[in-house]
Amino acid sequence: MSSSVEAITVLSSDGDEFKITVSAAKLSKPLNWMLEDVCFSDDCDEVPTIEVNSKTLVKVIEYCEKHAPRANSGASDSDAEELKKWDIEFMKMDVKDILFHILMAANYLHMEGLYDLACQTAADLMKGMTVSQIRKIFHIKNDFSSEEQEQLRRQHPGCSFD
Amino acid sequence: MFGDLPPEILGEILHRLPVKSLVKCTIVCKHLNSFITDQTFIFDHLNQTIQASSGNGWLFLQLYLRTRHLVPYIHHEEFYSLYSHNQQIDQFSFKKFPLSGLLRSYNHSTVVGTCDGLVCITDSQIYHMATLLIWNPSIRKYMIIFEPILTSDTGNGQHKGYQPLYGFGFDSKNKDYKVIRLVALLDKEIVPQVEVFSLASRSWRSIPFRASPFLLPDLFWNIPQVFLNGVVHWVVSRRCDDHILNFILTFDVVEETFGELTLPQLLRESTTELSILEGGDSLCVLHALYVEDDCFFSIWVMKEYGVVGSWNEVYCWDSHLYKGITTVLDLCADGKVVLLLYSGDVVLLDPVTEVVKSLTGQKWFHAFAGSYVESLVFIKREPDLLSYEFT
Repeated sequence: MSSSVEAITVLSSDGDEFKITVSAAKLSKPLNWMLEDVCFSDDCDEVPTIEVNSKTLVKVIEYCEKHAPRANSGASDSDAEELKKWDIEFMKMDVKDILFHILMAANYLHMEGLYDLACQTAADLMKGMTVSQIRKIFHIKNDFSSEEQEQLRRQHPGCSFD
Repeated sequence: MFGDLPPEILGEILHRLPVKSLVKCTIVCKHLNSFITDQTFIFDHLNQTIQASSGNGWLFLQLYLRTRHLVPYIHHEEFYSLYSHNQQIDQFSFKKFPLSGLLRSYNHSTVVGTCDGLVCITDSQIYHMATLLIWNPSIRKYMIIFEPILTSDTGNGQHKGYQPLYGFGFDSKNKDYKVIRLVALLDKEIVPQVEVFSLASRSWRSIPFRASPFLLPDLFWNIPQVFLNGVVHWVVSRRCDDHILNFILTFDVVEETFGELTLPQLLRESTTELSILEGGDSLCVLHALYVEDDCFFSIWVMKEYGVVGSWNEVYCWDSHLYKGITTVLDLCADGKVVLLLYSGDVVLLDPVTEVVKSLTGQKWFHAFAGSYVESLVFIKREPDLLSYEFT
């Protein structure tokens, strides 16, 4: 990488511009490849588009900026502990509006840490929940016919359907 | 909503859930139901669970309660338990899984083996065939296997005493679970008749026995088997001039062929009880050794599978230890050993620290222990899969 800049500008799929520091952008494999291939300098007018909507991109960049120092230099145990707490707070978001978009974005941007965190968050939201709670959290409609429901009841007699 | 996610992302989320939560998810909506009950997901989930639990999996126990009745076989109580012996939590979650009296027609039931979270049980190995059952305790479903081809009436309708030998394993090529049944006359070195039950086709099929005849040990209990590396193993013997030679009979579940593995010298010619044991990823043999009035239990491990020179005696316990060892039930993947003691207690022994932990706290007179993993096999609805309520 021959970049002389500390931050680059990217476009969201909605066409909004966002700044992301080079060290934070490195958390994404495709962005890192781009940084290696393209010479970014102050007079470079090329603005890459990231196929992620603005609302999601803000969150993704926030995550990258927070995690970049640790990813680049390693961190002490207390830092790791603090970061874990931050992750939990960061992930408190609406499932439909944002969590699913984060999952797709992290997958698309090859961001292992965020992808793992988002998958675990989604899994934790399902663990220990009742069937109707899962439907509510994930905005899912019960699309079984009453006949199919009866069949499922017979299959899992000990399972609560509420 | 889950339908909007690419399958690889949905899979990644669902793989993180325990079986109990996944069963619940099949009730949430059609999309989750068809995703979770799909063969690909079932086997991916199983492989991930096996990998994640490597070295500290679960333990399946079958226990018979001691009774004061004159005919203990009829009045016994039977329990099945699952233990998670995860070292991190250092706690045992104890669950009882009651099963109907399906398998109690003559005698106690015998666990043939465990494989991928499925437990194969027969009602008796001494009398003539009756019922076989394949059970997934994690999702509370089981199926009864129909009568095999070879029963006591096979042949000229003559009633002959025979000993069946059972094995249970997974055919990785055809993604099929199979029960193998060898039927041989007691005390006679003959060519056994062999049949295989395929879970995928739900049927028994006779296959030829292309190996040298052998003699079954004359045990009035079950002959243990171990399924490892795609192969079922039993310890059997053969008469050679004036003495008996013990060896390991093998059955390749994919190829459906028989083979043999040689035992170390000491075990080959031993006249005392030998039985095959699970030992994590290795094949083990338990040897009960009598020296005058004392009994010793030694455990031999085949460190490199198939290499005769790699047999090693790893443990030897005086049966008087721990207030009396009745037998060794299992070697766990984490190195711990499951023992049945004279007192009737089933304990977990850490051979390094010699710490003994009681698993059952009750007095049992027989126990089976085998490795276990939570699995979704049987989650898909099939007409012959039966469910029971957990009480």
